[in-house]
Amino acid sequence: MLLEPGFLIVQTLNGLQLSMLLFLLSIGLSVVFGMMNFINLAHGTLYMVGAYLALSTVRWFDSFWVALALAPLGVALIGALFYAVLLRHMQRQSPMRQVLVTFGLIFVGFDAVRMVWGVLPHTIPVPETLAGRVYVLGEVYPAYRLFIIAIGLAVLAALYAGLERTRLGAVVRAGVDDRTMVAALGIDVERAFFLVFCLGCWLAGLAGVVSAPVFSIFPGMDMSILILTLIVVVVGGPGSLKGAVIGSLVIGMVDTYGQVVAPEFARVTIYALMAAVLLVRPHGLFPVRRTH
Amino acid sequence: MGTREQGAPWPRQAASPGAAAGTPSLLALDAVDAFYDRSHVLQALSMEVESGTVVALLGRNGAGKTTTLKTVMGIVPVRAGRMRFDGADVTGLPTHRIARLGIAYVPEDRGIFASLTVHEHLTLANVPDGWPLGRIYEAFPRLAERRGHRGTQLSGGEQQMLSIARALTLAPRLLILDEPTEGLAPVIVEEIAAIAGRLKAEGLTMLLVEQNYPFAARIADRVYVLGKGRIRWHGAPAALDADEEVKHTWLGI
Ligand SMILES: Nc1ncnc2c1ncn2[C@@H]1O[C@H](COP(=O)(O)OP(=O)(O)OP(=O)(O)O)[C@@H](O)[C@H]1O
Ligand SMILES: [Mg+2]
Repeated sequence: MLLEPGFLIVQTLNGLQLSMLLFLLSIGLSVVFGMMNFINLAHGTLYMVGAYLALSTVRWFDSFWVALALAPLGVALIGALFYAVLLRHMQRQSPMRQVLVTFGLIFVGFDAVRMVWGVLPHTIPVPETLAGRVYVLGEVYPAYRLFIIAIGLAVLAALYAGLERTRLGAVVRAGVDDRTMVAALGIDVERAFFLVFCLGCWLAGLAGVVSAPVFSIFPGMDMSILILTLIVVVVGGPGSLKGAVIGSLVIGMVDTYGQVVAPEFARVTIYALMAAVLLVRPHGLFPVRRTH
Repeated sequence: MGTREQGAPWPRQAASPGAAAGTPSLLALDAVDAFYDRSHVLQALSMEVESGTVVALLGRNGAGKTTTLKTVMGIVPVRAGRMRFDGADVTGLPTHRIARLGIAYVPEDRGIFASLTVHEHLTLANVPDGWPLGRIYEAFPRLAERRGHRGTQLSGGEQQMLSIARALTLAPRLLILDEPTEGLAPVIVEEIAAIAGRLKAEGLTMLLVEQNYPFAARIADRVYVLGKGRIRWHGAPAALDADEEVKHTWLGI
């Protein structure tokens, strides 16, 4: 059964789909951490809020596409507010404080969605245009799931172009390498960082919206994906696009195949993989390089 | 004439040629204290850099030279005392605002970004009246050849050239150099000396930290000797050359 081509094609596509969601979530977390050594544990909460905002938008406008346009913006706005009120002041604090505060935000988010949307799970329908099935290499596969993969690839291409071809991208890369030196060039690193932080929130919201028609929406839906996302950042090495891409692919594939081949060992395999990578490469697969 | 510093060492206006001539100093540190956590590294440090001059800051390893430069850049905070640039109080300003006032920094580790190309290094600051790229590449032909290479692909000498070139894109009124010749081959040191000489001839004000005493003595108009976080001596290079005791005690030469 394992080596049947149909099985391999479907599971690889499933793995790719999870990888792309993990990529949308991990890239923001990773670059923010690479630039400012700032770890936002509530990043998964933004994903959950994205899914809930999609739920409400779909109810009001009866359109997935409106939700796709609006919900990530709403999440980015919430992220910006939290940054201005709370996180901005956390940057000079010890990492332990950052961890505690953003960990606390997970519970705040949990209670907030429970109060607004209740405890029962929800779903939103797959948009009609993508409700069908398509043939991929002879296998039947849901069109919507291919759409998730396409969104991930499109974001990857856009981020690559933005990072490599624009001045803000150069500022971000330089900030990951040596942020004091960027400031010494007269650049307000914190403002660049704020933009990156908001973009990361937007992407987490986007991941929440696109996964809403596939997974059920419930308080706490953020936890398992947050853990996988953190593992992606650690395995890939914080601060690099390449690290987030490769880390997402590795973890997405291993988790997907693990769940079907040996479900009872799937998570253990992921943790063992993370430990193995860290033993061989303590700073992840693609660590930030130093010239000095 | 050299002036030996004791107790509260500044102001001692008469010893400063610019002040005597009525030239306002571009940069002035007045009894500045700086710390790393609880370790008191700079103690009541006062110094001035007059417009259009080259000032060298000399001292042994660990004397506090780099810390002084980082304090000027706002990277290490001023705990006590004042800092003035072009007459305005800049004490406590964040680094990027100090840089925008016209202070460019070439750090000891050169501060080259591993993932940026040479070209990106030179366009990052984006200051309108900074040296245009054409002029940079004319002055640093090596960089023109390597404009597409990333920071990690450059030799030590090329990194140092790039660090200086990048500083010039900021249109600096004060250029701060921390041991620009450290660890470089003699030919490259000569190239850097030539560049520094040309910048000086153009009237650029510079604050230079050096362990390479002959290099510093050749280019500086004025020397400060730093020992254990305090200014121990200041004056003209020729006067320092003649003062064996200061050289022996504070520079170990
Ligand atoms: N980040 C730091 N944290 C704690 N102490 C530091 C730090 N950087 C430097 N020091 C200490 O502060 C003192 C001054 O260091 P500084 O780097 O300014 O010396 P320096 O004159 O530039 O020396 P060198 O010639 O070796 O570059 C030294 O005793 C050094 O050990
Ligand atoms: Mg030093």
